[in-house]
Parts: sequence; C-alpha cells; structure tokens
Amino acid sequence: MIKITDLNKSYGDKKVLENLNCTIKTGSVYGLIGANGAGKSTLLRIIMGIFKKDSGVIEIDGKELVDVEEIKQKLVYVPDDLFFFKNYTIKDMAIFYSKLYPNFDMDFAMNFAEKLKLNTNQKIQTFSKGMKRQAALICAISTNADYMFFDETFDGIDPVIRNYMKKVIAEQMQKKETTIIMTSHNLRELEDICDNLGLLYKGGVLFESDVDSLKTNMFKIQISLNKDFDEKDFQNYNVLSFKKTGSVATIIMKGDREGYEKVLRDMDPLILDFLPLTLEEIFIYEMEVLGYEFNEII
Amino acid sequence: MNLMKLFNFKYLMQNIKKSKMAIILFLSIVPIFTALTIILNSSYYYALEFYELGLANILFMYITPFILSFSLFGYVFKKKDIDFMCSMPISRKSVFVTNTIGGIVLILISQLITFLLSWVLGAVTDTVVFTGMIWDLFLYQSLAYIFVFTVANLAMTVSGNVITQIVVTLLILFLIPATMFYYDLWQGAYYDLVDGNYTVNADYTIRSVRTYTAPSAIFGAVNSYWQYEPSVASTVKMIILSIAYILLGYFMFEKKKMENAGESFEKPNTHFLVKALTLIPFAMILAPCIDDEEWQAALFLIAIVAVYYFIYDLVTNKKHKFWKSVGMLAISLAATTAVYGAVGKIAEDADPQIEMEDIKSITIDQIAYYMYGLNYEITDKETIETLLYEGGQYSSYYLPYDSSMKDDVAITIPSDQAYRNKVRVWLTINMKNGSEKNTRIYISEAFIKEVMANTTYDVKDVGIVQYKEDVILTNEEEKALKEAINNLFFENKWLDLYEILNKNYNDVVRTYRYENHDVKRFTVPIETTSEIFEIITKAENRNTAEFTRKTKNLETYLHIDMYELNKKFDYNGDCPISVKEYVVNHKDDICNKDKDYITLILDGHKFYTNDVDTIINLIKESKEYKTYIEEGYGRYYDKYYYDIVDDMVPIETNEIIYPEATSTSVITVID
Repeated sequence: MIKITDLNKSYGDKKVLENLNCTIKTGSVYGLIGANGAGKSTLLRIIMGIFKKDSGVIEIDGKELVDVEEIKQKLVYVPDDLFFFKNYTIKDMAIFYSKLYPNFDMDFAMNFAEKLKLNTNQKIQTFSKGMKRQAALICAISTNADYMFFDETFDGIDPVIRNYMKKVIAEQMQKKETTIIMTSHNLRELEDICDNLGLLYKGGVLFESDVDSLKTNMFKIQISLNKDFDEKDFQNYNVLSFKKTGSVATIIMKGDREGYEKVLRDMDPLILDFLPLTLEEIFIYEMEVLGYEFNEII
Repeated sequence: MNLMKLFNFKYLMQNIKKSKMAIILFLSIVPIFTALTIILNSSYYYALEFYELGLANILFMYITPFILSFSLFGYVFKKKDIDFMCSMPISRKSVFVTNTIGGIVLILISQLITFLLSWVLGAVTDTVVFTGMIWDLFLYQSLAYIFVFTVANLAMTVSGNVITQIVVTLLILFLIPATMFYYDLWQGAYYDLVDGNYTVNADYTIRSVRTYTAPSAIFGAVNSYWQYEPSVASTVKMIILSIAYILLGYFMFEKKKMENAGESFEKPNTHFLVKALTLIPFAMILAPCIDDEEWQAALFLIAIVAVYYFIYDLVTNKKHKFWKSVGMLAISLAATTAVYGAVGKIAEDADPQIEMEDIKSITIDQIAYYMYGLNYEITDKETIETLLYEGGQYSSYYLPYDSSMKDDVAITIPSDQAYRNKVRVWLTINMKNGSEKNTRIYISEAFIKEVMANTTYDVKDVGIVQYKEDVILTNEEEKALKEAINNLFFENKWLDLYEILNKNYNDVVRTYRYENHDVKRFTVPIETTSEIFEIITKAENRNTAEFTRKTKNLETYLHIDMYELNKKFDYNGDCPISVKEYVVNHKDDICNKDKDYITLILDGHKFYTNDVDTIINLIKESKEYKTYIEEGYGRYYDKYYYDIVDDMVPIETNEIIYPEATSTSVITVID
C-alpha cells in the first residue's frame, strides 16, 4: 500500500502539490486524473525519487519511502515523455533493466515483444510513437516490480494494442499482486481498467473513490409520469441532476438503486429506464456536488 | 559513507555502454596523439621534454574530463532523461559514487594506455622517452584529469544545462589563478632587489600561478612562456581539492533539484552572479583601459560585453526583461571592473622586493642556448650576491645590436661595449619560502667560469642516447664513451665543454637524463677530452670511409673546416679523387685533438685527420681546386672574423638584428 500524507512540493514560488493525501491499496489499479498542470506527473516523480518533496510523508508497505535501491526496486515508472538510449534496441533496453531489477523476466519481455510484433533487434528510435510506448511498457512490466507507475501511458497506442496491454496488465496483477498507478487527463482511458480513481486538482486530491461503488451508487433514469411533474416531486431523494424535456425527465440519482427502483415503480410511470453512467458523467456530477465545474478541472 | 556499498558495478557498465562512443574516444584520444608525438619526433633523435611528450595529454586535459563527466552525468540536463535515469532503482548517492569512481578508473585506464604506448614506442623508435618521465606524466596527468573531472562533476550538481556547467567549471578552475595572474601582471615587470641597484625581470613570476593547479598552467601560455611541468605544490593542491570537490559534489548531487533541468540555475540571482563572474576576463582588460584613459577601446569593449551578456542568456536558456538585463549588465560590469581595478592598484603599490636574506639559492638553468637543465645550484651567499650584481645590470630581454659591413661581410655586435663579452644566463632564484623567481642576466665569461669551477657538479650516470645518425658506435665504443663522459663530469671538467661548444657546436655528443622530474640535457663537444674525441672520430672516420668507398666514382661535395687552424686556406667544391682515396686508405687512423687537425666534410660525412698538410696539398694539386680558384670562391674563409671586427666601421642602418644567443663570441656573420 502507498500512503501519502500532507505532501507538498513547489517549483520556486509556484505550489504544485499542497497538503496532498492519498492512499493506494495494494493490488489495485489506481487511476489518477487531472488537468494538465494538476500535479499528476510531479506526484509520480516524487514517489519515484526523481524530484525531492518539500515536506510530507510517503509510505510504501508501511515504510517511509527513501532513496535506497531495495525500495526503488519495488517501483517502476513509465514517464509521459519516453526515453531510450540512442541506438538501443528493445533487447538492449531489456538488458539495461535486467541489470538493475533483480526480478526482470527476460523471456517474458522477448515473448511479449514478439506477440506485439516488435522487432527486438531494431533500433527503438526508428519505431513509431505507439511502438515506443509498447517497448517502454514491455520493459516496465517485465521488471515484475510491485508498483508500476504509468504516466499518460496509453497515449498514442491504437485501441487493439491498448486492450491487449490492459489484458497483460490484468494478468500481471493476477500473477503477482502488482499495484498499478496510472495517470491520464482522459477518463475514458482509465474507465475500463482502474478500480480506484483519484482526481487531482490544484495540488491536492479533490476526490477519491473506487470505481465499482461509484458506478453502483450513481445512476441515470429517464422517467415520464401520467401527470405533470417537476423536480419537487423528487425532493425526498438524492437527486444530483434533474432535466426535463417535454414530458420526459432525465434524473441523476445517488443512492441504493434497488430501493429507488421500487419507489419509482410505485409512482406508476409511463416510462422508466435505468441507463448506465459513464465514468466521466459520474465525475461531472460528483464535481458539481462539490461545487466545481468539471470542465475546469479536467 | 561506505564507498563499496554505494558503488554499483552493473550500473557503471550500463552507463559506459550507453556512452560507449564517447568513452572509446576518451580512452583513445590521448594515447593516439601521444603516440603520434613520439612517432613524429622519432626522426630527430630527440629527447622530448615533459610538456612536449605530454602535449596532447595536456591540451585534452581541458576537454576530455569534461566530456567524460558529461557522458556519465549529462542526463541531468534533460527532463526526459532524468525521468528515466532517476527512476531506476539506484540511489542518487550510489549514482554519484559509481560515476565518480568509474570516471576516475577510466581516466587511469586512459593514462595507463598512454604510459604503456609511450614506453613501447620509446623502445622501438628513435625518440628518447624516459621511463621516469612517462611515469611522472602518468601520475601528474591522472591527477590533473581527475581534478578537472571532479570540478566538472561539481559544476554539474549546481547547473541546469551544459553551457552553465561549462561556465561554472571554468570559474572553479580559473577564477583564483586568473586573479593571481592578473595581480602578477599589474605588479610590474621588475622585482627590486633590496638596495635598488638590481632588478629581477619578473616576466616569469607567473610560475607561482602555474603551480596553483595543472590546468592553471594555461596562463603561462598567455605570457608566451609556457613550460608545463609537474609540481609538488600543484599535486598537493589538486589532491586536496579533488577530494573536497568529490565530497561537496556528493552532498549537492543528493540535494539537486532535477526539476530545474534546462534552466541555468534554480534562482535568478545565482544566474546573475555567475554571469557577472564571467565578465571578469573583460573587466581585466577594461580596468587598464580606463586606467590609461583609453576611452575608445573601453567603449568598444563595453559594446562587446553587452552583446556577450545577452547571448549568454540565450545559450543558458534564461529569460529576463530587457531593462532588468541592462541594469544588471551595468552593475555587474562596473562591479567587476572596480574590483579588478582595485586589485591592479594594490598590486602596483605592493612594490615587491627580494631581500637577499630571503634567497635560499640560485639555480643556473641555461647558459646561452647550449646547456639545458644544468641542475647547478649555488648556495654560497657571497657568490649569489656577486652573481646578481655582476650580471643584473641589464634587464631587457634583448641586447641592442648594431650592424656593420666589412668586405661584404655583415656583422652584428652589441651596441654596448660592456656586453660584448658577456653570456646570457637563465637563472632561477629559489626563495626560502619555496617560491621561485626566474630571470635572465648577462654575465661575464670570466666570472661564470670562476663560479662554476669552484662548485661541485652533481651529475651522475649520464646515459648516452644518440650520436649522429650516420655514426654507428660499436657496443664497446658506446660503453667507453659513456664512461668517459661520466668521468668527465666527476672530474669537474665541464667548463672546458663550454669553451669548445661555442667554437664548434656541430660535433657534439648529446646526453640526457631525467632527474627531479626534469630533463637534464648535456651537449658535449667531442673535443672535450682526447678519449671522447678519439672514440667519436674513429667511429666517424670508419663510417665516412665506408661511405666514400661506396661512392668513390660519384660526385661528392667536399668542405674543409679550418676554423681551429690559422691557415689561410679553404675549399668548398667537388671532392678530388685523391682525397677520396686518402679517406678510404686511412680509415683506421686515429686523430689526436691535441695536435693540429682538420675536418673533411664529404657530403655531410666527417673525416678527422692530423695530416693537415697532406690533405691541403692533395686538394691544391687537384683539377677541382683550380676550378674553385678560377671561379673566385673562398674569399670569406681566409681571415678570422676577429680580423674584421678589429677595424670595422659601423654603417648606418635602420635594421636592428637580434641574435638568438649571446656567447663567448658575440659576433654573428650573415652570409
């Protein structure tokens, strides 16, 4: 588990992280979302020891994170802006990783590359952007590190490969209780893989929850009654949004879905449809509840 | 701090692998250029001085350790490189220790390759390479490279980009020695000896600056007196500073803010301060311009500084508001100029004096241009005083000379009669506090003879390196020659060498040895002793006879050297066949130096014989001599130069000729 308490970081006069608190459970896929400049990459860089924190505590598995090899071997990082040594092939990069990560699985790396149809002897600098991302992911996943940090990782990867990657990550998590921390400014990227989400805004975690409870606790209904109705008819329920067009209203509600369904059926509706909410919609409404405009945050 | 625990060999190997081209270049460039130096000098039978053998090594000292530092640590200047490298499971402390130790090992490997290559090439080529010298070069240059490397690493820890790293490296390396050098220059050209009658020409007092650290020797080049040599003071300073810089770098690297990559410094004020320090070279020129009221030059310089100041911001990737930059430029330039103007004034007012009681000894480095590194130390107070007062009257580098003509012969002699029989001597005044002052003086031949005759000469075991390329000594001859020269030095007879050397410097034996980190070079005229003369002339005659036998029917040029004999005869023409036959038939004759003898030079090959009259007769009877006389050659060789000098009439000329050396005969004949 990673526990971050009151983390602060400034670039000169500019505060980037301010009293950030966050908990990432072991074995989870934690999605960190936020607008550009929200501090996502800075947070990852501090955890990785790339940047020095100003204050605060970061604990990994109950021990404070310090700049020592034994702890850093538990972590692997794929940055947003990828780096490869000049003229290096995937095989060369894999060798580099293998010298520093004791659990690096060279066979896995080579097989993984083969499945992705990447030539392990070809210079990475000749690869396309997507192929470079794949190469970086291959090396990172092959380290078998306990914690993997992916910064805007799936940018530039086509959907087929992206799904394959996600599958491999899921397998990896099953094989070893790996914790994945992914950042993105695009919720859709994280929707089908993350089981926890944190929203970073102005240097702090504004909102944090697990995806399942978010999705089960919030739902959208379309309803039409055989009488004239308005928002007041639903005032006893936890309504996050009410919009009525003609005789049909679209309502976002939060709470026990089965309970609400029973109550609404008792109203003898002409139409009653429960529609799934996208993660983005859930976030929009949650943010609105907190008094933020979602578009300003992401 | 457990260094071995922090050292990560696997990381080092990977780091080297990723920069293998730069590392290979680093490892090979010094050995290659050193090898070239040895090979290119092999045809000259030349014993290389420390700075000559190490020339490539010394020049690259300013570049390659920096490249090495950049190869190992250069990732800290690019954000995406930092993301990758710093996320690797190795601590910053470990990175710094690994790269520093790795860099030092690479430096040692490079120097070891240079050492071995020099040693092998010294053995297989004709270039004289002293094992002691290459060992010194290995140790001293290793330290120098390590020193520059640690400075570059320290600069890296505070810099955000490579240009800033270069600037900070230069400041650390040169700020103090440059200031010392500037102080010395302003101190004036002369040190006054206590009573004011004698001044030591202080052109060379920058020696103290050059011994600050090895790289600061570059200031010697500025003063056109660049002689790079290992120094104990410099060695100690470099060791201490290297350790200090490694420790400081270790702690600063640990705290380095990687997020500032790309920018010069984290704080704008640091940027302005460092930029102001880079104006010091300009301030060093501007201060004297202002002092001399050279306003035009000052304005021109200020314009250059202004351009530089803005370019600096561009290359170091730091943006400032225009008027703020203008203001900072004005403040920085004014401050640095004021400081260095003040340093100059302090230096000028210092009026340094050499107290006689502070002098420990005087070392005679060189007499005229012939004797090098005599290792001849005078400690006797009275002798020192006499030597300085006797010779110290003339402090200028060149004596003024007049040119005159007599019978189509141009002659230059010193204008001042007092210097006509004086010899230029290079001295080092060794002070009791360990510093050295170097100077040149003109001193009478008689005095130098007297001083040297009464002083023990401490040369032992002189190794003969090479005699002329076409004279092959047998092993026995070489052994005998070496023994003769050693005996000669032990017997204090070198004064005679000096006399003969100046009369006929072509026929010499050169001997060398490396002692006290310096090349001692002795030029021994073959006429020094009968024994040496006999060994050399016998070998030379044997070789010349063999050459003549092979080329008997070919046209050969003959020159007769009659300088030593008061015979009004000269010949420079085709060698008569009768003379060739004589040479071949008398190859085993032994020439006695104590009797009259002549030297026949046949196409550059020498033949020595006491049979002077026979040779002259053979020539005079030949048809070649008749042609020679008819064509009117030989006018200049029927008199001694002194005959011309005695009654010469100075002519008016605007041309002042500065002879390279002043020796016992101060006359230079221009033919």
